[in-house]
Amino acid sequence: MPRRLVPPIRLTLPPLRFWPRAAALVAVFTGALALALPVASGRTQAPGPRHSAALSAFAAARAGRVPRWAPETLVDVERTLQKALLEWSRQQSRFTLLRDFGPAADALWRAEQAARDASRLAGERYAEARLWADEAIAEVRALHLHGDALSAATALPRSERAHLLRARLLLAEAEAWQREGEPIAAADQAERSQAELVRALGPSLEAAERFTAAEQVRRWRRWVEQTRTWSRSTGRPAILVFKEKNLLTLMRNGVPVRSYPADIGQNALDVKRRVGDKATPEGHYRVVDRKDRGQSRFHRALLLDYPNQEDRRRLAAALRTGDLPRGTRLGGLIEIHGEGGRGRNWTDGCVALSNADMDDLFTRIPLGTRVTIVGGDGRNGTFSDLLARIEGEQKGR
Amino acid sequence: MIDITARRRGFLGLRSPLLSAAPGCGMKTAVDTGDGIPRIAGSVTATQMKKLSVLSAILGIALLTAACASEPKEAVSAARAALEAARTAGAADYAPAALAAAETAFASLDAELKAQSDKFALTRSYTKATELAAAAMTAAETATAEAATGKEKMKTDVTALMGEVKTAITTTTEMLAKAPKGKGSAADIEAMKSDVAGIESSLADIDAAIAAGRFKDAMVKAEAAKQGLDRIAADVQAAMEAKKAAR
Repeated sequence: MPRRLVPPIRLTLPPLRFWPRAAALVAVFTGALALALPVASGRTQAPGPRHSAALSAFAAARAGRVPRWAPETLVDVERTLQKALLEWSRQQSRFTLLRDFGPAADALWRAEQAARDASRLAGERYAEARLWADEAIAEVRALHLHGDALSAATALPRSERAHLLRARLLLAEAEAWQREGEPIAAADQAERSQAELVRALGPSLEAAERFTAAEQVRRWRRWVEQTRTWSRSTGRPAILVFKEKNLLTLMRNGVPVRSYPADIGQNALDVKRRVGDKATPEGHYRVVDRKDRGQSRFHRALLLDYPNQEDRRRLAAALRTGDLPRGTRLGGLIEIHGEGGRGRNWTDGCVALSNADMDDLFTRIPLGTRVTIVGGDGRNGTFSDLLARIEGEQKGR
Repeated sequence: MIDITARRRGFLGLRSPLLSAAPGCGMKTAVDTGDGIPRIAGSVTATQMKKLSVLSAILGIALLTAACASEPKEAVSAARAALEAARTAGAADYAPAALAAAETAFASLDAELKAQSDKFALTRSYTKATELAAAAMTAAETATAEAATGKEKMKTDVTALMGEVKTAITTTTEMLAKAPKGKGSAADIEAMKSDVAGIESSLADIDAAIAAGRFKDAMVKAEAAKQGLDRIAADVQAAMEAKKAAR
């Protein structure tokens, strides 16, 4: 028999008792792998930082401007957070190796973003409200400047002054609310301040309109021209008083030679119509008396012939129409005198210069000198400028 | 029947009616139950004991689980009441951050309660919920305390400012009394006196706001009144200095 080169392979199966043990080992190994994989993948690890971030963003939204400025977003923010926390709690309460924090992490991220978006929206709305309040306050401040100019130039009646005080207090409240971070309250108070300001200044601004009324301005310019012509033709000095410019101009031969700052009656808006109205009269007058030092309470004085015929005629017409009550008197003792130069209108109707200016004028003015008092010439005066500014601002809006 | 020595006693002292009183009182006799294991008549076997132990353990665990599975209703109610108290105390205005922290704590508590209630009854555990309820309660109490502190501080501040306003009214009135009177200035002085009187009459609104607990409102009005008085005082001072300079 030839010898085999390759010995025969004899396959022998393991004994029967081997197989259950092998199956058990495989099962244990597979089970271990199945349990280790989730842990290795990290899905059983609770996303602590994301959880904290979501809660912080929610707390910041609740503590910040969202409840006031974007309340409608809070429902969605809270719902989103609730879903995320519910998923988180569910996973937390499961057996460790069975946990899967993937969906919870996503939900927490969405909750954080929802809270941040709500905070951003609230911040934008708040900024917009602040801007609107700033504009309202700036507008009222500008009106207050006009009010200050008007109240400095003319005495406001008591009721209007009370409204002006109220307007100032409301503006201060508006500014305080804005500092406190309450722009809606600030804008409300600014609006109320504006309403009070209109009540305070409205009647006075209406009265001030005569300083820009075309017919009135033409009349004044005509008086000025008449006086200039008279001075030129006679060679004599003449005085022009421009009430809203607070200016007294000395003319000689029709040419202005010197101007002096002049304080006029407290009621700078009106023309004198009766005794005690504290307004300076308007019209053509003459110097009828000269009071030197010691003869006047106001250093030196030049007495005018107020009331003249025109003033009497005007009173009679007002009494006839009932504009003035019966028994109304015109008053008198309107002078150009010293103790002035105070930079404000304080007299009972007279025209006041500083003592030094009065000394200079007194030496140049003889009895009979023509004195023409006008409201203005339509420009470069307190009231005409004020009205022009207001008109310009209204057009600009 | 096989005789067993008297030392073998039945479990729980059971005596089979088959036991005879004599011979030998107390002598137990074994019975054949057919499974090949000799037993004393009326006694419990080791297997039965093991089964009984397991049942007892299961029952014990079930009872314990039932105990842990009850929602901490009292703790949660107390915490919610504390949160409501914080809101009533004005925490939204005076301690917004603390109130937000309390509301955040409640969000976690509500989620935990819902998660547990969604589970099968025997697997529920409210241990975490109890801890969260305690934390929420603490946060709400902190918010209440901070609100009270904040409110008290604002009340103190506005009361102090009101004192300054009243002092400023007195000072300005005295200045106006001493202000130089003359032709023209008399009317200005009267106008300023009427302004001071107007501001003084506004103090009633400020007092009403303080009494109603609207401290921010009162603070703003008091600041405005002070500003108004400062302006009048400055005007009087400027007028007095101008008069001095004119002399």
